[in-house]
Amino acid sequence: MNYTATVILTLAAIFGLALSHLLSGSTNIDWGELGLWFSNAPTIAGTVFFEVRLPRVLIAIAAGAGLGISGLMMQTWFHNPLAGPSVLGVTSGAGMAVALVVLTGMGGGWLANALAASVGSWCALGLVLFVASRFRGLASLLIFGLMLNYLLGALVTVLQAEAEENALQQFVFWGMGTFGQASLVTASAVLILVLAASSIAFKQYENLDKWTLGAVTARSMGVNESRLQKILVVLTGLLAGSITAVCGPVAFLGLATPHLVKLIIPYRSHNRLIPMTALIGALLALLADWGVKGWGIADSGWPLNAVLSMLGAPLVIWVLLQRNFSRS
Amino acid sequence: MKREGTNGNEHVIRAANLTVGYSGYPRVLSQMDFQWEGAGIHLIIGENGSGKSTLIRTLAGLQKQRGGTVFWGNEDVSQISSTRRTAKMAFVQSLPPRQSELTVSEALALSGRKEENISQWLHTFDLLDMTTKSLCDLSDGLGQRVMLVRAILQDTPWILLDEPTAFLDVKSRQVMWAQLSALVSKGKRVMVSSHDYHLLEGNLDLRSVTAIQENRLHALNPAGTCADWNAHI
Repeated sequence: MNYTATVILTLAAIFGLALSHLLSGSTNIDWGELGLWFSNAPTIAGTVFFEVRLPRVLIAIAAGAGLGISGLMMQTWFHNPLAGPSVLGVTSGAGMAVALVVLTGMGGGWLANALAASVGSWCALGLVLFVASRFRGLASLLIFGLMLNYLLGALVTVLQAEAEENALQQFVFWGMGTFGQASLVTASAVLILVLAASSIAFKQYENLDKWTLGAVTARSMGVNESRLQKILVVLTGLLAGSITAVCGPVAFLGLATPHLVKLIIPYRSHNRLIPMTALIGALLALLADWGVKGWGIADSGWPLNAVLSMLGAPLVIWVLLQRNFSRS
Repeated sequence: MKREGTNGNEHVIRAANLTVGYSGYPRVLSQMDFQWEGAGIHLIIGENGSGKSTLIRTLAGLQKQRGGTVFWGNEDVSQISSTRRTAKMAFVQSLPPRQSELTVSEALALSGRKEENISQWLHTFDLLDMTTKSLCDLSDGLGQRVMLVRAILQDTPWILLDEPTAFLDVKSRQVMWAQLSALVSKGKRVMVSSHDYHLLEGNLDLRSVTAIQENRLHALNPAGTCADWNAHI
């Protein structure tokens, strides 16, 4: 199947899944009343559709696409197929920052959270970049990310132990990951940010391709290393930060999506990887949200991270088995 | 080859009081005044760890020197924009890209050359069957051949090759030298670093030979005999 056909098919699948999320749910919607939402007359149909279902679909698409792209950026930059925002502690950095503002009662608003989360992920990313140049081999960087995750996790636990009950409950639900907490405004804002970040990343596709050939070769081909690094850090921090602020620390989408894309298409140039990663990420997120809503035994459904881990972990293990790492 | 000199040729590579190496490590090569000019193959020869790679990367403007200046023509390399640098010089690293998942054709498409031009070179280096393979799935030798083709496609006055023969089999080496000689006859300049002293005794038509010996550069007569060279190295 050629590239265009794959893109069209994926778009169609995203559209179909989005529609299924919008049309069905625990509340029956009287579709005739939907239009009344615009005239400020509160109806159940309008509220459920515009304030629950639509934001949820939009944030799922944004989070899937955005985390997928930030995962791809990190895998390319570090020449490490197991890099990703949650693996290297970027998500934990965002989580730690949100915990700090939420649990100490300084924040709570989405803008404050998003700002804190972005700063948190930049700090974590800065730390990872600072040490990455000293590491040789793939494993050291991953182990550093693991340790950073432990450390930030421990700090969050300490904060939780000191927190008030109300703030704590809010934070614990957020920590399980969810697409259900977004409002129409936050979901649209994050979606616009993801679209902007994706197109900026796409403009760098040639430089990213050259970067895969190694730093010295890339430099000889005209890649400005420090400029590319700055662009990737800003984008990854913004994406992981804003998405984590709204959805909580979402697992696996960043790590697994690029690998799934590479199973689907034979191309490895970023001018095709970037669009496909955005699309497949969105598709995966919408699919996972069916797991959250559909199979839920409890009324509130299964936690998103549990579903994503059940989808993502086997995928990553399978990719590991397929790939020959002995040469790297 | 001449020592020093101020001729206006824009394709002269000149080291002026150059010291190369990494900060925190003892100096590898220091206070060199040397220059390389003219179409042909310029060989830099030295033992493992003598600083060949550091020198050639520094001359290519890809690594910061620790002192002195590298000039390309009359321009300080560190002042040349990356776009202009790519028009002047192509570089091949000693290690093939073991981590790149780009397919061979995607990697070569980065050169921006026409497809028939690319396939012609793929044919020359016997790589036509490899176009859809990822670089990381190729053997080191095949990967190095792809990077060689990539550098040639950049179509620059200078091509700098750091230990290009290390992973190549005998036949690939012959193809490489034959193609480099063909490029040289069209006026290209090629700089090759190597630890392989046998190159001196081969049939290569060398424009210059520079030996790294005891942290200094020595110009050898490229037309010299084994006895001459042994006297120096």
